[in-house]
Amino acid sequence: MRRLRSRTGMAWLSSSGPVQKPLVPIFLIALVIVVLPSILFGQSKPASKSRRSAVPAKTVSRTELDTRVKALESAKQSGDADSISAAAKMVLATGLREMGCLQLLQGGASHAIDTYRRSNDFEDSVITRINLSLASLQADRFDDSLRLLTDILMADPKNVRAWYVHGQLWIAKERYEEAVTSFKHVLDLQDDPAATYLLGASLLQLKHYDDAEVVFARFTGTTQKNIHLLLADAYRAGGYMDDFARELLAGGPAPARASATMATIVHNAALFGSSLEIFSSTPTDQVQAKRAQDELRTLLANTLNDLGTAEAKQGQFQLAMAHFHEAATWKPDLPGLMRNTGIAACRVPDYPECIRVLRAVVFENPRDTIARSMLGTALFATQAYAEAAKVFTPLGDSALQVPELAYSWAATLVRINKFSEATDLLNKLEREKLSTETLMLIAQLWSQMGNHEHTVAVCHRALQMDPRLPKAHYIAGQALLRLNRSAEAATEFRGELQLDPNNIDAQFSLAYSLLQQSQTAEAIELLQTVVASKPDHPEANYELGKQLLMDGKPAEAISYLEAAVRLKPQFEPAHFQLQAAYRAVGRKEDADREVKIFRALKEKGRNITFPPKQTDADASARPD
Amino acid sequence: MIPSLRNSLTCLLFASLCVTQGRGQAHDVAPPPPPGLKTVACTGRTIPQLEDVTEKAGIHFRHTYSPDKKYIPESMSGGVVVIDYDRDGWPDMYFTNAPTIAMAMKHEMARGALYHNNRDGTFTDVTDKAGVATPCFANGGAVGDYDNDGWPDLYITCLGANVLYHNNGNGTFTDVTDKAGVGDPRNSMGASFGDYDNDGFVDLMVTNYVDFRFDNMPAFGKLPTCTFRGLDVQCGPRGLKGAGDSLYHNNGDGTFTDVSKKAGVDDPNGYYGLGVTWVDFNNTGRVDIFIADDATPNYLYKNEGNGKFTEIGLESGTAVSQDGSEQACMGVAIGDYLHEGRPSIYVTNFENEYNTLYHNTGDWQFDDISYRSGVGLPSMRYVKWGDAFFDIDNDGWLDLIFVSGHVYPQVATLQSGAGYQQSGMLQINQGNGKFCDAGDQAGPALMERRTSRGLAIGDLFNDGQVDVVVADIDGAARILRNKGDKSHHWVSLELAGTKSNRLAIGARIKLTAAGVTQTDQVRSGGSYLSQNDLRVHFGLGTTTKIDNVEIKWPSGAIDVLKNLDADKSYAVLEGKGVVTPEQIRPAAVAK
Repeated sequence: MRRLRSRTGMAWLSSSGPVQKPLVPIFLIALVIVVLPSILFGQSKPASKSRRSAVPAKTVSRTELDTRVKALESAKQSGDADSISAAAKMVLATGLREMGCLQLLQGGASHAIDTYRRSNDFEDSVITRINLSLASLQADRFDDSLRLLTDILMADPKNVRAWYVHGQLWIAKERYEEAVTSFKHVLDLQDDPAATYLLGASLLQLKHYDDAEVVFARFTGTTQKNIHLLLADAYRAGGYMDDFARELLAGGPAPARASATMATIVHNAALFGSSLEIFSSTPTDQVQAKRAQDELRTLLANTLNDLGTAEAKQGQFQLAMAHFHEAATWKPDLPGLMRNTGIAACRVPDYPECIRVLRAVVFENPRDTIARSMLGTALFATQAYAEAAKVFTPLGDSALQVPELAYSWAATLVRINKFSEATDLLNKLEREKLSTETLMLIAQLWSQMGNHEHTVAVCHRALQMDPRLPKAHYIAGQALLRLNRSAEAATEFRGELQLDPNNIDAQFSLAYSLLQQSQTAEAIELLQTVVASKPDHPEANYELGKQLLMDGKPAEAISYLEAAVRLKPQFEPAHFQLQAAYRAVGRKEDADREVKIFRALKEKGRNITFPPKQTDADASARPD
Repeated sequence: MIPSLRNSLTCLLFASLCVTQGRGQAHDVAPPPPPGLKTVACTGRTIPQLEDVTEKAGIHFRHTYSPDKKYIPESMSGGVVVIDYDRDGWPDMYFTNAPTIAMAMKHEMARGALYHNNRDGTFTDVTDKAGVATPCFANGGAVGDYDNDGWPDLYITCLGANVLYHNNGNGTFTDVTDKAGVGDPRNSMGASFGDYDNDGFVDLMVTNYVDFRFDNMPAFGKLPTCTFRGLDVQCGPRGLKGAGDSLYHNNGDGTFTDVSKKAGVDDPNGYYGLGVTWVDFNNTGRVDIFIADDATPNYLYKNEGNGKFTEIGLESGTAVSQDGSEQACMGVAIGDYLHEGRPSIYVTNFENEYNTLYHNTGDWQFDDISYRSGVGLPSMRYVKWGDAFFDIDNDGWLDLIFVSGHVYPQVATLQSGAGYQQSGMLQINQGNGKFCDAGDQAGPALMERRTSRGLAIGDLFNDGQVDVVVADIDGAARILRNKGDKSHHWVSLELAGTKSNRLAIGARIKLTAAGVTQTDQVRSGGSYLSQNDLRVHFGLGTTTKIDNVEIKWPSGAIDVLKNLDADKSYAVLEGKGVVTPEQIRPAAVAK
């Protein structure tokens, strides 16, 4: 017998890793799926060297990221979904913050805002919020920036970096007095050349020349010529052209400088190598930044995949699917990601997404039996029976290992009227050990194929396993009615009513089976009981009315038949019987009206597909 | 709980369980029969034997057939027409034939056959001489004398243009379709001549089935409506467009005018028309039309007398079964089986559908008494086609016969069901509104499993016993000679109109003997694709004297015949009464 087996092996959801190695042979999965479910989710691979190298090197953040990645790997080694989830979120928080910095460096303030916010979703970090405020500032969203900074400083008045960005914000708003206050807070807390430079520049804007001179005195005697050039910009921005000329001269030969603005000054501040500057920890070289960004993309995609996998193991499929989708925004071609997305979508269930994704997965790897099984079942659930049958077929006898899967395949075959193939499959399936739940599903399939004898047999098998199984008697009874074995059917319905005396459906079916045996008195009594307890039971009203009509009591029948057509206006036979009752009591107009309705319903329900219009050429092509 | 594949699938499956079961298949599942019904076998009476004398009679016709029947026209042909074409008083026969679709695509034909009655129990194939071998992709036929020259003409229904053969009176026929203008080019099945305006010239009603096109043939098994019990089968009729019906008014000059739409019988709904006949259902003196439609409601067109008809199928209770189900109706038989002076309707249907007996209760109302009368239940397991009311034992009560055979050869692979080849059925009228089952008591011929289609009745051997001719689609035709019940008597009437149409089609006969009154009518068409002997036959039981025969001619004239002897055939001329057979026959035509 062929077994469910996959070339790449087979955690149900694959966690990230460079190579997918088989963890559990798939034919065992079916057997251990319940008792050892954790194995199915697999133990993720240790991160590869290349993955570790995704961490940009030698910065505080990068060190933190590296540490967190190691923690994630340890968590994955443990296989504990909670630990993996927590560790992954930490990696994502730091990684996204790093990515935000790179985006900011490349002028993508808007993207950076989103990225920082997403980072903060995973971990509420002051650093990230300050970065977010800076990104907001650069995107000219001053109010957002100020609100963020105010919150931070209220919570931590000694946050020097927050004060620093605060000062930058006021410069951007040309509120130099507030900027001076902010930078003084910075310098009260720590010495910093960039803050000093910006403070001086702000004072010059306020025409506090002397105060500025005192501040700039820190740079007196510097031998770094570029400092003179930066100071020159500050003087020029403040309108002090003599000082500008002096400092320009002190800076030595330099390219012609454009007119300086405070935006230039803020940009200049980054050149002081201040620890308060975000760009101090971010590669400034475009090529290096691009490489770092690529590495971070891979890291983020992998980690989101790990997080989604952990969440799927915890049954949080909607969340998992969202994280798989998010992973795809960083690296859509991450190995195993599509498969995980599709399987999670199936479990949500989001059938269209499941089908969309798993179609591609199965196309790519036709031997991925898990993905094939899920895809086939999703297609079945969305009534795409023809495609479902095509997807299921390669599973062969291996599908029998999971009875529900084999059932869905058989049901698909039934829906497309491939009764012979469905019969073969169900006959094999019935040789397996099955739950009563599966047996009842199978019984209904036999019924749909018109094999009512088999339906009864399967129901009885289920009842042997559980004599109090709901619905089994009822379904067997329905099948027996189809077999014109109404006496046996009645026995089944009575059995169902013993389990549930108030089962209206069983009461009605018992009445129907009694009618079939000419036990009309008891049947009418039962039908009246059903109608009394459920006056809106259209079938009971119909059968009662029809029986009364057959008994030559059209006047009595009319109210029930009128109820039947009112409750189920599309039910053609009720209109037909009602017209007969009307006609029998001489109500010709009412009868004709019901005939008209009956006729219209019949026409509406007629399934005629019209071939294309015939042409003269067609007619001439017809043989004589 | 940690998810697993099994759980995943279960979740998906339960989510999908609410999906409703789609309709599909070529035929709906019919409702089960009602309370505690049992087939009643005939006991304590003589059942006449139906002896297969085909070989002895020299009938060798075999219908051409396709073994797998991938297209619906390959399942539908097989008509038989009883026609005394040479007016010698001995019924002759014409069998229709149709090629397979593959043959038709290559413009190959299948030969029909005209057999001349040699008056000695044998027949001679005169097809070539008569010139009626290959009219078309032939389905069925009907007889009428459209030009009142006394020679019965032959109308053949076809997939493609129908053919009207004018009987030249010398053993040959001429195709006059184009001149007459009755070549309905669609997929015609049933045909029946009847003089609906009583102008003395028979008009022609033609039913059409599905709109089948050779350039766009529905692919075998490709749609849900092309499956049956899980098997891929031919497509149709459900899922295919219907083809509408035609009524041709006879202009009296050898031409006809298509009045289908004007008369209100053009079938705008596109129902799948099969059996058809003209009947005066309410003794108005005007013939109405009944059409058996496959898988759609039957039509009963009430003749309003002004050239227009009103369709009252549903209102009359003849369109559907008693529970409102549209049945797959094929053949039509008409008979006053309870001596009430009103013709009732018997329709053959598909497997798991009972044959429907619509009892005429008067005033255009019919009651489906199929189960109550005993004709319903025994018929259910078969796919039924040609049928007839006829008095097999001449006891004065009309009995019923039908033949069967599945449309899908593929069902031969199924364990259950009546199989592909099926036996016929004889049901004997017990005179009390009930029929008993005598299918297995009339000899082996009727029990033989066949794939039959057309059925016609007539006293082929002029021995007073009404015989049965059966056309099969997958093989040989059969003559079932009725050995009769010799203790019973009979009478046969051959009518000829003078003011009325020459073959007296539509004339109503009321016969009273020993206090029992029977009625019948001269009818064209009916059954399935077939034509019965136009002579009207009555069984008389043990009575040897006929008290009274009243003939109401389509012209409105009435002739009354008194004190006729039993066990004779009488020729009756409108306005003259009983005459010699020669007096109602046309003058000989030079050969």
